[in-house]
Amino acid sequence: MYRRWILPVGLLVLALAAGYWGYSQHNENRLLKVTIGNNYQRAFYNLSDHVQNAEVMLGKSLVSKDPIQNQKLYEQIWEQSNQALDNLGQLPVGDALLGRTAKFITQLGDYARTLSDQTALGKSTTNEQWETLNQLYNQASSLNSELGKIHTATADGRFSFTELAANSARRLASEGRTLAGGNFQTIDRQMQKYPTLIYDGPFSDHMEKGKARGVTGDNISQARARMVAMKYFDPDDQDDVIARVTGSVDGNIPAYRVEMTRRRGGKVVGEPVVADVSKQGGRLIWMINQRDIAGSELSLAEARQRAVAYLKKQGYGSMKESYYQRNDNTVTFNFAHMQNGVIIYPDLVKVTVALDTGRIVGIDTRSYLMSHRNRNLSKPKLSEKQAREKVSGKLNVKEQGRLALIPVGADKEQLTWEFKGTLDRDTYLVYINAMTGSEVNLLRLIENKDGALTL
Amino acid sequence: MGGRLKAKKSVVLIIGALFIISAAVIAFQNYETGAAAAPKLSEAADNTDVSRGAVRTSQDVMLLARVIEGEAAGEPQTGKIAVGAVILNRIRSSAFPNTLAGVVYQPLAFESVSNGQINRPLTNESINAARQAMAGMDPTGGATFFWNPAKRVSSWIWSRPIITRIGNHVFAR
Repeated sequence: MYRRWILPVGLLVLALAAGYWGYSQHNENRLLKVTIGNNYQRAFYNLSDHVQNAEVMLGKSLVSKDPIQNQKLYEQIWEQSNQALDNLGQLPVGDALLGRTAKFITQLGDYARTLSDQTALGKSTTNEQWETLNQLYNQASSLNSELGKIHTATADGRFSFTELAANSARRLASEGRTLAGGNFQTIDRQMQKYPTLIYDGPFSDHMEKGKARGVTGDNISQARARMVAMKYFDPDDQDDVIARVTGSVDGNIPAYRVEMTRRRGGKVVGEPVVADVSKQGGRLIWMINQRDIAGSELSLAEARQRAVAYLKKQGYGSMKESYYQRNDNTVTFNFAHMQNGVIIYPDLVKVTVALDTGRIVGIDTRSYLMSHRNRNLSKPKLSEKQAREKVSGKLNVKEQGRLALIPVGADKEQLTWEFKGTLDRDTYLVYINAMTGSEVNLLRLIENKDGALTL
Repeated sequence: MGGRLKAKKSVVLIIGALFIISAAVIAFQNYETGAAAAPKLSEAADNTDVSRGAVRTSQDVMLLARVIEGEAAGEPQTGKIAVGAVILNRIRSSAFPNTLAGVVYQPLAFESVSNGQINRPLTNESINAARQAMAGMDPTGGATFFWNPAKRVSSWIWSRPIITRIGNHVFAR
């Protein structure tokens, strides 16, 4: 008799269970949405706060006379910009619309930092720099008033970040710029009205489009590009190799893309080896041979020999190894150019050696090509002994110092004395200005089983 | 009459069973995507990976590798390194956040980050590509954008100056 009721009751229970589950999922969903929305709100409030602070400090810096006060303001502007940028990057607005604003905030902070450094060296702010600060002040005020409008819209319920995020996710693929609606479009339009900055800092406009100094000469043909790539390629003996130019690269160094396919017994073996050869001067920029590397029989010393021999063969005279790093079955050596006994660190070439056959499976000369040129190196004013005295007494320096040219700031270089010293378990490299004796840079050295690396 | 009732009963039983199974499957799926699947770390990845001038901890390498895996799983090695290079170029650019996590987790920036694909298990190829990108290899010539032209993307992206093409991706400034 009861058997009749088992099924309907069973189904009813199921239906209730499903309904309860659906309801609890819906609740969870709603709470998640609220949490996400809160995160966006927090980022937006923080962003506004920091931009407002930066604006006030900019205003103060326009009328402050005391250099110590100025330096403090510049440092604070830098700090506020960093935090503003951090929060800006958390808003669910595509980078199509945030890019220009992000650039403004980044350059503002970077510019303030360079002024802070300048003030620390005792130089006062020039009139031109004051004008730039004034322009940045106006730009910050403009950004602030737009952010204020969004605040009001949020308070009035006309604008919601959660909705914005949901819409954006859905329509991202097709609409790009028009996504975020009027508010952020207006901000972007306002920011675009101002010119971008050129100054002495890493985020300056002229730095992002750096010119390669080591690339000189006439433009080459595709045939020559193939030849250059083949020259750098280090194949296994039994392979037949064919090189083709497969495209153009219009990046920092305009180049031909060359692909080399290997054949063994008429069949194609492995992935093609890819290389970029600069159109001007026919310099190989980089090469990647991505073949499977079975084991690591070669010792580090043998691998090093191969790398050194390869570089010599390719015409890189006088290079000195600066560090190495192991990755699975390969080792990458970094070599810096040597001129008159001075290590030129910016002119860097990286060579990767496979630890099964000792063949070169990778080379990267981009740094070298960006900065290499014949330099007029001045003679150091300080001797090694004099420079050594400028190193902190806490550092235990055993070895001889050596002369090194290191990059300073965005695109300057400085001749220095390099000393290696230890304090307890840590090893450091100190760079003393060879002309003035000031400490230019300090690096921490990390040596582990996979490489000797500098930090 | 008994035969018809029996047939009706079995149909209802089957539907009921399907119901239970599908509810269980959905519930289980929700549970799993709620908890991020931890990437499998190979032994090679345990090393501290640093380069001159900046801290590049193995965490950074792992994060970069995860994005590379998410965005370029089917791409040739050069394409994987290229994706890594774009991310690093963004850190260096003034128009983007200036930390690795800031760039990777910027809302709406990377599809695989938005849809959880970056929480897939890692492959050695992606880890190697991440390391090479961190070491400075840049097959994109300074690009800060990349996309798959076969997929629908906004016309704004197409207005960016194109630098090169690797595998299925186009790279632009």
